[in-house]
Amino acid sequence: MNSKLVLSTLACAVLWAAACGTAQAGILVTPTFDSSNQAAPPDTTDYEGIFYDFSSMFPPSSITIGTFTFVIPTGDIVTGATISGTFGDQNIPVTALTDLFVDDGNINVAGCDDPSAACAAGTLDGSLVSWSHTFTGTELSELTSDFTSGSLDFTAVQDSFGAVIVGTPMLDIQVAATPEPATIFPLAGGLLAMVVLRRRK
Amino acid sequence: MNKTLVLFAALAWSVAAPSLVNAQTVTWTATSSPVQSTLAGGPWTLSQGANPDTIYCTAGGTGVPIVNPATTVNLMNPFYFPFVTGSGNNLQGYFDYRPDAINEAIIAAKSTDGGQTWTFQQQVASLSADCPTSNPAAGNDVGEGHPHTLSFLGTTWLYLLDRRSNYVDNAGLIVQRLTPNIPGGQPLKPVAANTTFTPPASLPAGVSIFAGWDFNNDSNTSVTFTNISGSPSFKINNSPSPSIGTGTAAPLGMTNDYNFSTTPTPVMGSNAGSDITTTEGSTDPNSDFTSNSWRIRGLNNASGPAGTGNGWNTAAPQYSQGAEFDVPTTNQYHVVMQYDWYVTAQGFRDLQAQYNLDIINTPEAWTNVGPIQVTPDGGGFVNQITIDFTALGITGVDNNPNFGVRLVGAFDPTYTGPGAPTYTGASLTNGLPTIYNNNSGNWRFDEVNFFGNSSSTATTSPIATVTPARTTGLLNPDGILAVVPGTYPVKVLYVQKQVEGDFSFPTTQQCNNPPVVTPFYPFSLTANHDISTVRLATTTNGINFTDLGPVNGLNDSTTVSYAGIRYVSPNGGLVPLPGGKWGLFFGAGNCIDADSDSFHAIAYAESSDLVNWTVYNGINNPIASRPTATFTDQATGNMLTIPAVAPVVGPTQLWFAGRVYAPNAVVNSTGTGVSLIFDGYDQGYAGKGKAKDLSSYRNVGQVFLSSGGVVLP
Repeated sequence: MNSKLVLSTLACAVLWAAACGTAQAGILVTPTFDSSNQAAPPDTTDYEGIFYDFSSMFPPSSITIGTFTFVIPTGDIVTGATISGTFGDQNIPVTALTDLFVDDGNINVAGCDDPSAACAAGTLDGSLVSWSHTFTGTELSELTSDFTSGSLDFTAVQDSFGAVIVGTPMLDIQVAATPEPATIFPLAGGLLAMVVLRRRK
Repeated sequence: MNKTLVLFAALAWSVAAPSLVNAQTVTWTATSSPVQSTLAGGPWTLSQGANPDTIYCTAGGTGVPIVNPATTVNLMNPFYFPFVTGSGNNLQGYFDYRPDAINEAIIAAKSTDGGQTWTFQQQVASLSADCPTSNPAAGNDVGEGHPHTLSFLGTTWLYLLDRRSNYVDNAGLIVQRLTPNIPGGQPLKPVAANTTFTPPASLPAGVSIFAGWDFNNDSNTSVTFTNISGSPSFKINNSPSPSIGTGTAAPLGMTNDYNFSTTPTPVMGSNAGSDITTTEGSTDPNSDFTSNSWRIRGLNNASGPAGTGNGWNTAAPQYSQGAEFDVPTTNQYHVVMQYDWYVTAQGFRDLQAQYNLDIINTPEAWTNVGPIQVTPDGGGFVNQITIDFTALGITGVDNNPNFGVRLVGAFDPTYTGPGAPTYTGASLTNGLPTIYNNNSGNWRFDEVNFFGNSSSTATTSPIATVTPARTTGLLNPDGILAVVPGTYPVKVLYVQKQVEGDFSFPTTQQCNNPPVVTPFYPFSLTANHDISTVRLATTTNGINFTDLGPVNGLNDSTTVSYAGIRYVSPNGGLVPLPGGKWGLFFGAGNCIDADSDSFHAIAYAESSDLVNWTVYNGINNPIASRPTATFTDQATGNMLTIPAVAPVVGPTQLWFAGRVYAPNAVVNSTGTGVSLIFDGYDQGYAGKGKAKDLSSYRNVGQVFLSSGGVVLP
């Protein structure tokens, strides 16, 4: 058997094995809603905020929609995260003008800022407008303490009369196991084999 | 040669272009036959007894209205004016529930099959607690109907027509904010807990009333009038006390020497004889429907009974008859006055409000404020008339111990007959005002309230507008025809209905009595004289609308042709089309029918701008229609078979042979067609006496239509 072929196959197999040892998984979680800020009676499946007329009733400066609660498995690290949802829900397909935040209002994840936009005025076919935000590397770093504590706040700033309606938001956290020492050696071995193969060429 | 070809092509294009621009975008075909929808659960239906007077309620007509369990499925009648939202087969519907002689109400139901079958969810506007009787407290056959919702900025507003005779097609639509109610799967809950046929809810909690009269604790005192022959005694109250705060109230101009047209002989002179009496229909929150009001009138000086020659008179100078309320506004700011005003059928038609900033030192310095208020035809309550002095730019009202308001009779500016300018009575004749009769009629007031902020720095009105009573800005609204999706300010098409308004037309433009043609048009009916006009309007808050004027092309209010469309009514089905165009399914009617609710046919039109419409499916080639028949056309005298072309949905079925209208169109999940939900009556409903057949009316039905390959957005 050709030694080169054997060596390259072995290198790929080792690299592949090492990669399996560091595979990613996703944690999907919906928030626990803060009932004090919801229209009566409060809902546990999606968020429909209190109506404010901006004449005699004004919203608080920051509306607490709810909290995402999760557990990062021991030994796993967060490699990425996405938060998503809809403006409006199955009952009311639109929302008041609003900006959505996590991390004590520090990270803006979505916004409905124009009363004539579909998120506020509705779509032609009645469908809901989706929103989604993938956290950048910098933002992931800012969220380190939240991931560690297993709790991430979700808030809104309301910018027009009406009610904030955001359906059922979803937080998708990608995690991966922290590489073990036993995994590192096969990974290094596979890389060494690739270097040798190249030099022979 | 090339130049010739180019020129020819340009010429051909200039001829073809307009027709291409106006070309019909969608030609509809039916992919199913119309079916009567069914309802699982909900209130009593026609299937449970033909005579609602004895079957609608338990215990043979008394007790509690029947409500069916969810396992009971019946044909969906009597419901009409369906309003449907949703997409594909998953629909949310609001339906006008109206058994004969029962107060109208609104229910909600859901469908998962495009509207063929429905499941009852809840009452939205509650049914009257009354079962039919000869004289129920709230009256029969009133209530709230013609539901339509509008959603934007996270809020859904529900619009209803106030069916009471003094309000229908005259007052603004009743507006309520819907809030979700998830437990149990029912998504709707009206904001106001009490949303029955009673007038719109009174003021929300927390508003600052510093003075007011509800007259509930006022009573009458027996007074002997020595200047009246026989020195009779009458129970009167010319100075009712406020129920909140301080102030004085007094009638104006009821003691006088005018001549009154009494029988058998005219008399001269009147004494102020105002009193406390019960009247139905104010916004008094302490009463379900009937509460005390203050009646303004006089008592004549002859020996005739009280109530004749009762103080009001055309000889009285303008603004001299009515009532005065003197209210110190000390430590009150941004003062707002609000009152309920009632006129009997013959009372003065027009009211002018006035204010005085110093009733002590300048008692005659009264200034008009606000527009002339006009009572509905036949009188009745006009509620919560509001005067926001700050908003009107009037200074000196706040923190004023000598402030007063008068509510007084005004000459009718629309009357130009003998004696003009003068006062007219509340009841119109052939749609026109007539001079006051100097004999009968009076005014009544209830819920006369004054609001204020206790701080001079507060910038908002003391009256919250979270739960409004009625829309403003819509002209004689009969209902919203369609909401234009995805617009802000939100744009709506609505129907203006001027009741008995076409008497001013030449007789050649007024309908004759409808034709009698057996077997499907067998009844002798009376012509209708309403004018219906489709108009555009916008709103930024769901309450206050700006009318943008009438649209063109849907109907001709002057046509007497049996092939024309004279009437349009809600609801309609607005469908977005490719290229930014719009399609509209709507109810169409004309002089064949005896009603302006436009139920002869379901028509279809298209527009590129929502203003100028082209009807592609009219009376003669409809989507759906009452039965084919041959008539002698009122316009031409010719024999016309109408419709000339078979309806798109196929032959008329008996359940909509009497009426077919109120179409709602929901685009299917593939954008290749719509589900059309509409309403129909069997013709027997129009019969009189023993011929009246109540077995099949106000039926909800459904049919699927294909857009013929055009993909709908």
